[in-house]
Parts: sequence; C-alpha cells; structure tokens
Amino acid sequence: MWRNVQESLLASLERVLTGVAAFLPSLLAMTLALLLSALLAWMIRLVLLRTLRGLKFDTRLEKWGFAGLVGISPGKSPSLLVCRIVSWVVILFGLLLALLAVEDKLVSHLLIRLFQYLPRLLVALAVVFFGSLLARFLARGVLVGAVNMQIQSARLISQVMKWLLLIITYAMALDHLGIGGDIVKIAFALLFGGVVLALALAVGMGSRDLVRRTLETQDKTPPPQTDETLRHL
Amino acid sequence: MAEVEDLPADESARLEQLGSAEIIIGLPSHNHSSTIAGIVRSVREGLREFFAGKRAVIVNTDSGSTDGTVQQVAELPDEEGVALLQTIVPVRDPVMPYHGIPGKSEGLRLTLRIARQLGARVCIMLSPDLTSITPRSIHELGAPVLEQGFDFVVPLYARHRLDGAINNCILRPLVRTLYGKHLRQPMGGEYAFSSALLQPYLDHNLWGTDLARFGTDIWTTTQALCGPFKLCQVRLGTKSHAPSATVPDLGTTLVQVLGSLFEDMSRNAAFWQRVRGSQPIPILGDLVENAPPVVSLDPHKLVESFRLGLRNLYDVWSLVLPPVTLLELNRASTAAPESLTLPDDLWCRVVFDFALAYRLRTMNRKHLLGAFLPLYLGWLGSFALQTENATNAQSEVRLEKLCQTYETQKPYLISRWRSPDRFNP
Repeated sequence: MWRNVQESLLASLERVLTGVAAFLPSLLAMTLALLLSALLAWMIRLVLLRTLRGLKFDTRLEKWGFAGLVGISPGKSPSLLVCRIVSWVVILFGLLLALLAVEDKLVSHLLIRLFQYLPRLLVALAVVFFGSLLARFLARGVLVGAVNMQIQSARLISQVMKWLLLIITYAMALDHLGIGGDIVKIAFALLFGGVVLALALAVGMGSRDLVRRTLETQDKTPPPQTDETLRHL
Repeated sequence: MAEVEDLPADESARLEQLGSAEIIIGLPSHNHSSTIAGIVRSVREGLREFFAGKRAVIVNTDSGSTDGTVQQVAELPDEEGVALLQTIVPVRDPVMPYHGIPGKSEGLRLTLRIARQLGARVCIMLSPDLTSITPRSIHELGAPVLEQGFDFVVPLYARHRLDGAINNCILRPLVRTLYGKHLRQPMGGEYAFSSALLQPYLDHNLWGTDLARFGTDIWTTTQALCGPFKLCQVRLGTKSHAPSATVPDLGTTLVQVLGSLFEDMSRNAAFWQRVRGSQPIPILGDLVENAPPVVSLDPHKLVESFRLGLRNLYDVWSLVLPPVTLLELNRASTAAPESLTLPDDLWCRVVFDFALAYRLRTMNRKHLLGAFLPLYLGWLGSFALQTENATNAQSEVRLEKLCQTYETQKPYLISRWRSPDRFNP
C-alpha cells in the first residue's frame, strides 16, 4: 500500500514538474516580452521627446490654438504627454504579447475585438482632433471679427461658438465609438434644442426688454469712419 | 512681331501701326464711367500743352466694367499725336471688396509690355477714380523722367493731418526705415517711371501672386527703392476721389494693405537688413497747394475701440507681442480716454512684431491682421488727441519724430527677424 501511495505521489509530482517545465518557457517569454516592451517604450519615449522638443512641438501646439493642452499635460508639456501616451501604448502591446505567450485563446479573442474596434477609435480621435482645430479656428475668427465690429460681448459670442462646435464634435466621436448609445444623441439634441429654444424665448418673450437693452448697448457700427472725406490709406 | 499677345486683333494691329511712342499713360478701370472720360480729356490736354510733338499712347485696360466705362472711352474722338488703345484684361479670381482697382495688376503688366514694344521713355500710371487730375498733373509726373533723368516719380498730395493714417503711422515710416529713403506717400496710387524700370518690373517673379494683385502700388515702389534708380516726389496739390460703391471697410483695407506690405518686406529682407540710416528724396513741383479738406473723427470712440480690443484680444495679441509690450499697452489703456498715449517706440515694436508674426505664420494671417485693427485705431485716437490743436505743419513735425523712432528701433526688428525664438521678455 505504501508503494501505491509512493507511486501516486511520484506520478503527481512528475505531472506538476512536467506542468511547471511546460509553463516555464511561457513564463520566461512573458517576462521577456514585458521587459523588452518596457525597454522599447523607454527608448521610443527618449527619441520622441528629443524630436518633439527639437521641433518646438509645445510652442507650435500653443500657436495652433491648443493652449488648453498645456494645463492638463504632465510638467505643463504636451510633448511629455504625447511621449507618455506612446510609451504606454507600447507597454500595452508588450503586455498583450506576454499574455499571448501564456493564454492564447482568450488573448486572441481580445486582440480580434481590439483590432475590430481600432479603426473606429482612430476615426473618433481624428474627428475630435479636426473638430477641435476647426472650433478654435472659427472661434478666433469670430472673436476678431466681432471685436472689429465693436460688439461688446465678442468674447462671449466666440466662446459660445467654440463650445457648441466642441459639443457637436464630442457627440459625433462618442456616437462613432458606440459609447452611450442613444443617450448621447438624445442629450445632444436636448442640449442644442434647449439652447436654441431658450434663445428664441429670450428674444420673443420673457427677456424681451433685456435683449432689447443688450442689443441697444451693442455698438455695431463699423470702426469709426466719421467723415466721408477721411481716407485711411 | 506682336509682343503683346493679350491685345485684341484690331488693337494689336494699331499697336504695330504706331511703331513707337515716347509717353505711355496707363489707365486701368473698373466701373469708372463717372470719371474716366474726364481723365482722358485731362491727359490729352496735358500732353498737348506740355509735351507737344512727343508721341503718346493712352492705354485703358478695363477689367470687365458693367456701367458703360468701356463705351465711354470708345466713343471719345481720336486725336492727332495721342493714340488711345483700349482692351479688356481678364481678372483671375477677382476678390471683392478690394481697396484698389480690380485688375490693376493685369492692366499694369499689359501696359508695361506695350511700353516696351513701343520703346517708351516714360510710363505714367493713373488712378481712374480721381477727380483731381489736371493737365498739369501729367506734366508734373512725366517731366522729371523726360527732362531731369529721374527713374521713379511718386506724388506728394496735400492731406489733412488725420487723413491717410495708415500711410502716416505704418507705410511711410516703415518704408523709410527699411529702404532708407524719405518717401512721404509710398503708395500714392499714381506714379511715373522711366524705361529703365520696365524690364525689372516685367522680369519680377511675383506676377499672379496675391502681392501683385493687392499690392501693385507697394511692390512697384519698393522695387524702385531696391535698385540703383533715381527717385523723386512731386507735389500734386490735393487729392479727391469720386465716391465709389465698392470701397471696402477699414478692416478689409488694412488686411490687404498690411498683408502686401509685410509680404513685400519678407521678399526684400536680404536687402533692407543691410540698409543703415536714411536719405531725403527730392521734392519737385510748384503746384499751388489748396488747403486739404478738413476731416473730423471722434478720438474717444477710437480709444474705446482700442480698449475693447485689449479686453477681448489679449490672448491673441499675446501670441504675437512680447510680455513687456503687452504690459505697456495695458498701462496705456488705463489712462483717461482724453489722454491716451501710445508712445512711438511702443508703436514701432508693435508693427515690427506683427510683421514678424506675419512672416512666421504665427496664426492664420487674416486673423492676425484683423487683430491689428484695434491697435491701429488706438494709435489714430492717440495721434488725434495729441495733435488736436496742431496745424498740419506741426503734425508733420510729429510724424517726422515717429519716423525717426522707427529708424532707431530698426535693430530690434533685425534682431527679432534673424532670431525670432530668442528670449524676448
């Protein structure tokens, strides 16, 4: 009987050791993938940071109208933000590779889902990027034009314009990603419709006097050219 | 033989028949039926009276008038010794409203080719909306070239101290600082040049560009300033225009004029960075100067426009102007409206920084130049307040001081132009 116990123990030990021996290469591969991805991420970060600083990326971004990015960036540097995002993407891929070395079925499934989703994500990012650019460009144009038309609340008009465009942009991006489903559309329609309705009501009913007074205080005459004979050139 | 391929067949044949001419009068037009016939008559009278015996050709280049301008010119009777050529010049991508004459650039190019083919000694370019052109004006513009050997003649009009402020606070001092020549009205609208400038103008590589379209009067002047040419200014009395329905608002004018000026400045950077100091340009002519028409404006309204700009455009200006300039502008705006003063050195640096931002494309150029308008109105308000009780002569002294300050600030411009990224607090 003792012999049977001994054989059974040896057999289970052999199975465990075989299992460990079978798992070891995967573990090693996983560790290696993680280490290599971390190293690669560090190197890419280093090169990218130098390149972006050489290109004066932070200054250019500010000039293009993305001054807001400076505030949310680590160390007030959008270059650092970009580098961190890129290095984390590389590490994430390393992690996926590492998991693939251990458990291929689940990870393959995850990867397929991810790659199916990736184009949508990229399009949504492009929508946000170009939408933000357009919003800032138009807001600046409206601001300059409104100031030159002597409109006192030029900044308010410009900000309203910018945020309406940004809301449309984000709503489009979320809709494209399939996040929030119909809630985003409904919320957007409610918000946009509400703003328009409020303005219509303000003009038509309750704030009639206020709107009239506001409009009266706006001096919309073009820049002073008080005399017909005055030529600026 | 026909060098000028854009001319209609019959006009081209007339050109060949003419063979040669000493004087060419270029007259672009676009819906100027109210003034064009009068100008042609004045020109003919001037040629008859002052340049008798010299063969002359009037070249009217019309850019698609719809008000009968072409017919008016066509119906004018022929005159011995003064041929009248007329053609329609196609204007590519016309931009309206425009501060100048649409098709002026295309008209100038055609006139230059005709002048070259006929071997002209002098070419006089006129504005078709002027009501103040007299036979004498033709003599004043043409004689310095034909009789005294000058190559480029610009007019000097008698103007009220507040009239032509863009010229006074930007064009005149900037052109003087950059090119080292005292031209009081570099963009006079009318000018004359000798045959020595024909080829350099025709060879210029900017035909068809925005600079050629919007800045004809600027680049023709600066081209003459950059070369070994003799320049002079002639007194032409007061200037009066026919009322026009197509005059754009001040903002559009400023965008087009400053855009052309800054573009031209970038093109000539290698030249003007070597220029040091400045020299006067001879002033000729003895036309009796009538008192210029008095113009009036409300300085307080201008000051308010400047303050509105400062309140709203501070973020935009901060992309263009260094912090110390913004601080000084802020300080100036806190003064009482009746005592706003923009110091000359501050104003110069503002203009230089905008020129630099234009070159570097710090932001969309239309936005950039649009953001300059409140600053310009601030300067005009400040100048109007400072010279409220001054005579035109006293204002002229004040403008001379501004020009000198521009010159003293030129090292700042050169330094920033060469190293725009250098720390500049």
